[in-house]
Amino acid sequence: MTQGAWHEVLLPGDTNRLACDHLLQHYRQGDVQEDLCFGSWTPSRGMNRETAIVTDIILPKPGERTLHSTGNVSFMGPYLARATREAVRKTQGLVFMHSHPTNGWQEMSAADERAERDRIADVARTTGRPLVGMTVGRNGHWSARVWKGDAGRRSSLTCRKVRIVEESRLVVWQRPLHHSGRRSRQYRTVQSWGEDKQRCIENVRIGVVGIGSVGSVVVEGLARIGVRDLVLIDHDLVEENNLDRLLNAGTREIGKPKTDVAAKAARRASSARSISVATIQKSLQSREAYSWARDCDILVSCVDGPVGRDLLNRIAFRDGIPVIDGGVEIRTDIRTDNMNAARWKAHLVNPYQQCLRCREQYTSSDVMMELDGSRDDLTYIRTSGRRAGGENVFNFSLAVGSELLNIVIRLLVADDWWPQQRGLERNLVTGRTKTQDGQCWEGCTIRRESWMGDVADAISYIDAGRQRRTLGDALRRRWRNTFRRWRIG
Amino acid sequence: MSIEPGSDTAGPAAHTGEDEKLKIVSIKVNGAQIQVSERVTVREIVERASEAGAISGVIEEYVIERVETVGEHRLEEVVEVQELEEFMAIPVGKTEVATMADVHERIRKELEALGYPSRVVTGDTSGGPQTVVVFQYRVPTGRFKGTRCMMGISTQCEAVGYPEIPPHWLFISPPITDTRDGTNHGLNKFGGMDWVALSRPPGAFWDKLGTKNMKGYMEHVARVWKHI
Repeated sequence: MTQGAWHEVLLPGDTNRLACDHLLQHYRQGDVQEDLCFGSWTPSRGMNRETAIVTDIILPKPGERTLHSTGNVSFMGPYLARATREAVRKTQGLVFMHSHPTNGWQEMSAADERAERDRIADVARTTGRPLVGMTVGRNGHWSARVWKGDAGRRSSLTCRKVRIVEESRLVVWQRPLHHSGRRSRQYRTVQSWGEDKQRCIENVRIGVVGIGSVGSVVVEGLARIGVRDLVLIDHDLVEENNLDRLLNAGTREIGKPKTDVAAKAARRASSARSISVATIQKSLQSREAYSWARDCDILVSCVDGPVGRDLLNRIAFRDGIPVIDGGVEIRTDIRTDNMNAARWKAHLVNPYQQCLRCREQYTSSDVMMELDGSRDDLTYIRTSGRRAGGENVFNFSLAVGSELLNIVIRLLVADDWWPQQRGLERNLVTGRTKTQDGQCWEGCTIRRESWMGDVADAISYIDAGRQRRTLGDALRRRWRNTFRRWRIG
Repeated sequence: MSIEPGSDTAGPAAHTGEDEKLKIVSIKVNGAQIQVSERVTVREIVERASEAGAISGVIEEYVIERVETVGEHRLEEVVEVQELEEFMAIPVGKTEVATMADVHERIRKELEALGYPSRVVTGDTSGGPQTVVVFQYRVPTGRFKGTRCMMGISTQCEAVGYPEIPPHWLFISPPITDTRDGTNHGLNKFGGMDWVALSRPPGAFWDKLGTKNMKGYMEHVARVWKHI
C-alpha cells in the first residue's frame, strides 16, 4: 500500500439493505437490542486510497449468536469459523458488523474493541487480508475501521468514509465535520437542499476526466456549488482551435496544460473556504492517472475516445465508483454544410445501471482502433469512409456539462423517494428529450466484473504506449509518403 | 492457526521462530496419520493437503524433531505436540498475465480446432514489423465464393487484450484490388507474399458474442466476404 494511504469502505446498495435489515431489525420493532453479523470484502486500491468493497453478508444461523437481555449480543466460535471459511473460499477478507442504539458516527466501546482486536482480527488474518470492523447507528449511519499489525501490536485505522452506492444515489457517511464553506457565498445554494446535503457535497472527492469543452464547464460548476476536493485528469495542452469552446481559456493559455487552466479557474470560482485540486497531466491509459481516478468518489467522464470510456466503464463496475458520462453528437452534411442533427446525452453508470458498451457509446473494436492509432489517423478516416467527428459548439458543451452536473447533484442530494433516472438524451432538431432505459445484455463481460475491485483481471492496455502502434504507424507513414508524391507531382 | 500468504514461517514455526531447525517426522491431518520422511514445514503440509482437495482442516498431532548445532555437535530432540491446529489454505502466487506470444498461440490453436491450420508470420513490412496469424481459406460466400486464398489476422497491438478486444486488420493474399466500398488500405509484403490490408472491425457483433473466440471471429470474417 502507498505511504500515507487512507482507508474507506464501500457498500453496494443491496448489501447495505441486507445488513441494515438484520442489524437494525430490533430497533425497528422498538427494542433496544444490538445485533451482529459477518461479511466479506474485496480490495480496490487507488493511488492513495484503499477501499474495502463489502460484497457479501454472512448472516448468523440459529445458535451462532446470542442476544442478551441487557441489549448486548455475542457470537459463537463456529460462526466466526464459518464466516472465515466463506471469505477464504471467495479469496476475500472478513468484515465484522454490529449495531449501536444511538444515531450518527459510532465510536468503539472497550468490549467492541476487545472483540475485534483480540478475538476476530487474528482469525481474520487467515484470509490474508486485515479485518474490517463496521458499526451502524440506529439511523443507518455507518462507521468503519481496519485492523492492522500483528497480535499484541494490533491497532485500528479509522476509515475516512463509508460510501453506499445505490441505483441512483451515493450516500457518504463520515465522522461529523464542521462545514467548510463560505456560507455567505453559498446562501442560495445551501437554501436549495439544506446544510446536511451541502456538507456531503463538500466532502466528496470528484474526478473530472477530460478537461475539454465539457470538462471545463463541469469543473467550474463543481467549484461553484462548493465541492472541495477535485481531481482533474487530461494529458492535453490548450490549442488555438480549442478557444471557441474551452471555458476560461484565452490566447494567453495556448500551450498550457488544460488541467492547469481549469484548476486555476476552479480555485477562483470556488465558493468553499478552501479547495484542493489535484491536476494529473496524463492520459487515463497511464497507470498513474488510472490509479488517481480510482481514488475518487464520483467520476465525471468528459472524454471523447473509446479507450477512456472503456476504462471509466470498467472502473464504474469493478470499483463501484459512479461514473457520469455524456457527449455531444452533431451530424453535418458535408456537401451542403447543413447541420442535420445535434443531440447530447448524459447518463449515470454504476453496477446497477446499463454499461456504456451496452448503451452503444463505444465498442471493443473502437477501443482496438484507438489503440492501434487508426482512429486518430485522418487519412485512414478519409479512405475508410468513416466520420472524423469532433464537431462541437460551446453552447452544446454547456448544455451537456450542465446535465452532467445535474446528475452529480442528483446522486448526492436525492432522497430515497426520488424516482430512478438512468440518463437522458436531448435532441436540438426535434426539440425532444428522451429518458434512457435499458439493461446490459445477460452475457455482458463488463457487468460480470461488478464489485470485483482488484480481483478482476488486469486491463491489458493500461500503460500500452506507442510501441504497440506499429501497424497504424506503418499505414500512416505510407499515406504521408503518398501525399508527398502527390504534392510533388 | 493462521497460514499467511507469502510467509515462510507459518504454523508451529511461527510459534518458535526457528523454522530452519525443525523437522516434522509425522503429522495427522483430518484424522489421517501422514508419515513424512523428508524435511517438511507445516506450510508444505497444508499445501499438500490443499492439493488433495482439503481447503480447510485440522492438524491434530505432529511430532517435531528439534535439531541444533552447538559447535561441531549436532543435538536432536524429539518434541511431541498434541494440539488442535486449524488451518485454511489460501491460493497465493502470481496471477498469470497473457503475453503477445500466448495470444498468437491461442488464436492459432483456436483456428486449428476450426480446421484452419495456421502459422505465425513475423515479417518486416514496408511499414515496420508485424505479427500476423496466416492460414489458407476458402471463401464461403459473396462474389468470391469458392475462391481459395491466404488470410491473415493481425494481432499487433490488441493481442494482449484478446479475446475481450478483437483483432482489427484482415490481410488477404493474393490482394483483392477491387472491394465494393473501395476501402482497402494499401499493399503489404511479408512472408514472401503480397497482401492487401482491410480494416473490418467486428464492432458490436463481437461485444454481443456469448463466447469470444476465433469461431465467432470467423463468422465475422464470413460476413466481411459477403460484402466485399
